[in-house]
Amino acid sequence: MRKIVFIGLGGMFGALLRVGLINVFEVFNIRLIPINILLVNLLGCFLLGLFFKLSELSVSIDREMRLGITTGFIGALTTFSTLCKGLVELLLNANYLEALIYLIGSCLLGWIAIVFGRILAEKLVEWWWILDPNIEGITQ
Amino acid sequence: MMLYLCIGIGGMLGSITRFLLGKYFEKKNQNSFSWGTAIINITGAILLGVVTTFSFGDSLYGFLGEGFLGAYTTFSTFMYEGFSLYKDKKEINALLYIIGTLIISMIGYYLGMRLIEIVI
Repeated sequence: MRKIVFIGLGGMFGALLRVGLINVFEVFNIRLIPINILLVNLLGCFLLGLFFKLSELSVSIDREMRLGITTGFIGALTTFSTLCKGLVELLLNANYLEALIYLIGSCLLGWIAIVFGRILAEKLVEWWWILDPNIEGITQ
Repeated sequence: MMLYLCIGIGGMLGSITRFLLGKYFEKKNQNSFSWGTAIINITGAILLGVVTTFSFGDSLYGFLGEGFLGAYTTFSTFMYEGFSLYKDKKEINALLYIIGTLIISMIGYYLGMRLIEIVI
């Protein structure tokens, strides 16, 4: 039950932040490509890479809290359905080049964002370890 | 204010639905790759096609489209699963998973849209 509450709360804040950021990032949109949605999705990929790598490195985060952050917050921050909506709308209006850039950009940059998130997690753990070698919860 | 309340509650329910469905699919096929996220994203895309075409008011679209379906579907987990397949040396599966989900979902969105256009 605690799990559901954390995921629900995370999802609520994730969805609200997504809508807020989509409004803020609207200034970046060029040539009908929804860069704002792309940026929000990239941010989510980066954060998910960071958190999953941190838990892989056995940084202890409470299990329910982790689900709330990853499945709830980051899951709701990013959106797949809006990406599809944008792609189909571009295709139906015969903006094939824009659709292709949006599609490949989302996947390729999303991938890179995950890798960056994972690298940052490794660095963070290293730095923590240098600062305090006796820190609890890190086994590697 | 009302709009943000609708988006927030929609997002809450969407995330919980995704979590519960994901768990259900995980249980169903424990040994092979879980298709939970793919099924969630595809159904979410079809439903967004339906919801968008209905042209509801701001609050209802905020609740169903931006809130519920936006949070129900997820891009980050989708990409991360593709990335994990690649890391497990299943490069072809990773590519098929990403391209496959995207193409099926785009067709799904289109069909959802057309269905409502025909019905209305």
